[in-house]
Amino acid sequence: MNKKVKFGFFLLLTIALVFVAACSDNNTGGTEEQVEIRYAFWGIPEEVEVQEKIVEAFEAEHPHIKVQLDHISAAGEFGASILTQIAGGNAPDVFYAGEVQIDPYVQRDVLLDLMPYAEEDGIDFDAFFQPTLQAVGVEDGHMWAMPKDNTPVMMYYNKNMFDHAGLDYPEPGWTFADFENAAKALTISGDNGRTKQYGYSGDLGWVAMYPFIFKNNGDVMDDDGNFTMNSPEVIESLEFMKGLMDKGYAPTPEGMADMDVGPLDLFNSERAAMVPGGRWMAFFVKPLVEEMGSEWGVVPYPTNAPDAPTSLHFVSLVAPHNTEHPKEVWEFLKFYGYSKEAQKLNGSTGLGIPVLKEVTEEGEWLVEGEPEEHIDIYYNEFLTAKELPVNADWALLVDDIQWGYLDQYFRGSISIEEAVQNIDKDANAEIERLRNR
Amino acid sequence: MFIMENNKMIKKKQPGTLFSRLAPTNGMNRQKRTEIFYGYLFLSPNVLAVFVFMVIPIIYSLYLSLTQWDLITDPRFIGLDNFAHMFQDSRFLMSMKNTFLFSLYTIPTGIIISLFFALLLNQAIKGVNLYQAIVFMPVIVSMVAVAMVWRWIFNTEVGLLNLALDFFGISPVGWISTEKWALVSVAIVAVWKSVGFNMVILLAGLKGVPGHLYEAARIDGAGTLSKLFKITLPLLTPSLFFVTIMSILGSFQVFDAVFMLTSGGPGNSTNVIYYWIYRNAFHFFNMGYAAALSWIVFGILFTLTLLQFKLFGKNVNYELD
Repeated sequence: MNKKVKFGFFLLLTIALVFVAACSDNNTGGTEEQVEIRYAFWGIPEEVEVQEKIVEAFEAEHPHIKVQLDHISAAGEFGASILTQIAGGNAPDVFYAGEVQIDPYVQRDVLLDLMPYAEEDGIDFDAFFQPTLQAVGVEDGHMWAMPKDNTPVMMYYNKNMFDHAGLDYPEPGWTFADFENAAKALTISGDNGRTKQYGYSGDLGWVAMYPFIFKNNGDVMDDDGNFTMNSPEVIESLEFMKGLMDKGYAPTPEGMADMDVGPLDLFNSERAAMVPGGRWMAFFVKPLVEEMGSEWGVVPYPTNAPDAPTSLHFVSLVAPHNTEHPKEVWEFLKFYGYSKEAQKLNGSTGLGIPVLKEVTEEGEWLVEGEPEEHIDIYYNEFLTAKELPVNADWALLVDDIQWGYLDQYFRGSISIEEAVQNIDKDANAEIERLRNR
Repeated sequence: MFIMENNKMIKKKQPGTLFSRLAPTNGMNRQKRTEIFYGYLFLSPNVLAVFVFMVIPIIYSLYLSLTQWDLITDPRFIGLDNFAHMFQDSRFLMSMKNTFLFSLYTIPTGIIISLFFALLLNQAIKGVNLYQAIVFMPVIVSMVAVAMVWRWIFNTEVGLLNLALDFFGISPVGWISTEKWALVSVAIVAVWKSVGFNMVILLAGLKGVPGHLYEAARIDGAGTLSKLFKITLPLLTPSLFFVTIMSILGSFQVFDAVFMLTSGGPGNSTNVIYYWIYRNAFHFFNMGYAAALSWIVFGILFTLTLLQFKLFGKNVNYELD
């Protein structure tokens, strides 16, 4: 062979080898029993640490199962990334699913039903918080997901600011009027006429907004999944939220965009006295404690009706129905959601509350310096918390249509009637169209 | 094949089959044939990549545009339903409007600014290569990285732009926080990022203008503006034509700037067509509709480019007579 042909041959060989290496299967598995499962999750670095600890504990108990951690960082784009992997036939064996993501997956037959495995192992469903369990389909005889942590949406407040304003700390059962009065008293103007301290600051999206609706006995959708925004209770709640901004107790959307910060940043820099959120706030308000030296407290949302619920949020672990190792996946899921060890580890960051009632009662999940009263405050809200009105097309109906009109309403471009009527009209039309496609 | 004759492209017929025309080998010696073989061999990885990553997906997306696909279940054929739905989709029409507005902001400004820099930096002064590199740098920098910096620059309270305005006594502007200015701000970033690329193209075009023409003009007493409009620009038309077409194509495809700076907001004011396509594909489980939208964009761009060729093609001076 002459030089040119030799060179060409080796070049091709190299390229071919690179291709083979790139496409090779990672599962080298020695013996027949050694199984490797891939576990995809989102989260900040602390979350990654916790996952590593839990996997370590799991692998110690199950030496023949290896869990490969796959950290896909941003929670926001996690769904799109998983979707692409599923479409490519390369879904992870286990992955995170937020409460609003389960139904879209279930409707499209993505998930593995864990119920057979749960029944075989004799899982005691009463050990879990009931609202969380219902949200994963247990009522209908299915278990589409293993909850990993859950939280009711609550109101977090700065105790020092309340002290300065001479106000008593809020108690469960406080009303919308109590809340507004507190917000008013906690709003302080600066010398240049701009607000130095806001009484309240909260996102206007569904996470912080729905509890205002639920606590007023309103509902976003009816049992058939049709939107019911055009109702007196919903209108009252939304007008209440807008009122806080109009009266200056909370920053307006333009104001927030101008500052290019979020409510949490305002809270941590002591420019807002109350912010809404899930349990994850206990982790994210650390700067308030560490840098500002202030104390925070938690209380349920203000309510206009006794026993009105707040929203329940949770993250769960799901598996695709075509996973190659369903038994091993079940072992991991069972360990994560049903064993006290894993639940204690998971709750240690302050990002979420354990899903097992007993572990929650023991209170080891409280962060350093947190008072014990918080256990009951959270626990009681759990018992009445309301499942979110999940829908297979949540992103289109809620993030796009509902948010599109409410954003205009909160900015003052359209009236409340226009907003809610259009939401119902457009969303229900889309639901109809999607049902018939 | 096409050849140039009298400043126009015409078609001339060549004998033989397509294959022999691609690799005419009659009357060539063995060495030549081997060279040609290696030519194609080295081309093949590239051709393969273009085929696998571009041609096949494009054809597949045409098929997808006729289906309903949520990325999880199999695509379901629905004919032209996606295209029919498009015209009732208020957010599609709005995103087209935003995209057109965006093109209006970016194309003339972009071309004029890059022309300015090309003319300015077409001199043999000391350090001109450094200046050219500086103007070109935004092109290669990652949009994701610079978006953070631009968000700070645009920040209403502490941003650089408003600080500068404040210096002149102008009240602050909500660059990316108000509906009025958000699209303009994204346009500013897009122009900033692409000026260098267009400048390089125009510089190359400028170098192709024969120097003796300027000498002759100077002797005849022509001023700078005359030289610009009577010599430079007419002879720059091929590059300008190219830059215009690329700018139009680019402005329709803006996505990363919107995604990083404003996420389509505030209030949908920066929801351009590619952002809407992305939302439909990856957030609404509606890949078929997204594919259909992409093909409509293709249709529009194809028409615009064709129009450009028809209307301005004959004014483009390819050769110096």
